Amino acid sequence: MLRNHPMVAACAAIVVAAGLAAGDALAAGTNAIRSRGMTYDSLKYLPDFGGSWVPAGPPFEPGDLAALRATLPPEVRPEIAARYQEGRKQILSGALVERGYCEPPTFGGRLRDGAAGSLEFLFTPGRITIAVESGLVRRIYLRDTPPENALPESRGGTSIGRWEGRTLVVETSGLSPAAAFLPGIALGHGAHVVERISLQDANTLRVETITTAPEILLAPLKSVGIYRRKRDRMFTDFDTCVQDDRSYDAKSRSEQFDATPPSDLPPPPAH
Amino acid sequence: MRKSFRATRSLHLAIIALSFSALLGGESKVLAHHTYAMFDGEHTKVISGTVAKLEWKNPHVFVWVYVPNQNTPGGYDLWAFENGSPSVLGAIGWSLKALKMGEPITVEYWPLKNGDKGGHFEKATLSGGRSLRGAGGPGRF
Repeated sequence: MLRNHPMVAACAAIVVAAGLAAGDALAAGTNAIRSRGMTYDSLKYLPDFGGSWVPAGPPFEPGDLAALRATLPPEVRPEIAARYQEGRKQILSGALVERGYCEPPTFGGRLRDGAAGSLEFLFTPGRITIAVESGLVRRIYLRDTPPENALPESRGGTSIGRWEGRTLVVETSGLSPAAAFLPGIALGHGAHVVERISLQDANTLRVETITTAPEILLAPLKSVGIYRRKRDRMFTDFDTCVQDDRSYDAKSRSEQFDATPPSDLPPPPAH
Repeated sequence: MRKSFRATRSLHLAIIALSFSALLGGESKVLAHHTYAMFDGEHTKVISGTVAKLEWKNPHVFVWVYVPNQNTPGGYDLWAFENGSPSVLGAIGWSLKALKMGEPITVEYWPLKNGDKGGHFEKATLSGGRSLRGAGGPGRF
């Protein structure tokens, strides 16, 4: 019948072709969704983690930073907590000049309470990279098991990730036992971290962390970090250990207040 | 000329420091860059002058201020105020251009315990009523 009605045949062919094309597109889209994060095309199905994420709370927002740092969660072993408080007391009194920040940045089991700076997420096929202003770079491999050649210990640990709906779930092992969970509290051996990272709303990132560290914690520690999106924020190096630090004298290894005027200081106002 | 205020340490405290550092071993930026023990965090003082320079650098931004003083040969004293890091200050409204040279400024600060002309920046008021909050310092540790 179609032979006798060329226009009908042409229309039918177009409909069939369109249907096949739509089917292909649908199939491709479905595959892309299933393999989200594994191909460049599939990245568009991931939640928007773009921009710079600034930690909520002090020091980036008003708040009682001293109170935040004075209290430890009850999961911390009592003897560890006592050591932390003693060290903190020494630091606050000026008796202890702590230069642990001159060690390379290390992932200590949870993203910090803010003092390491803001975060950036980079999505590439099979990988998510988190850059922290402190200099720490975390590489998250989208796979079920750690790569075969993963190092037993490294500064960022070995992170594998997967998408559960709109939530990025990251499991990290292979952390350096010397990494600081808190100042004066090293993670110790056998630490393991699970993070669930998601958008709480359009411009708020929520990071739920469960840290297991048997040498310092009585039980897995749950914590939540909140970050606010600043799309136009310029990534700013957060370097605490520099050669010309006005607050530290490298020769005497003591703190100072170096009030040497800058070499390019403009002259005082004319009378 | 190099001015400094140095914390004194005994051998005993040095041993404690070594033990603490050995335990630490990793990132410790969460605590603070330094102790702030050189500043008197119990008292806030106020001083007015003009902006000499905004020194925008890690780990601490410094605000330099010319303060009129008829008793000095040049008619001005130079004051130095330590502030937070560029990263933190950038998040609370500061930038490289937050202060203009010669701009009138009133600084609230925690003074140096040794009485030198300086302290830790707490906040400032500028022309037109504009204000800037500082970061870090003994009262915020």
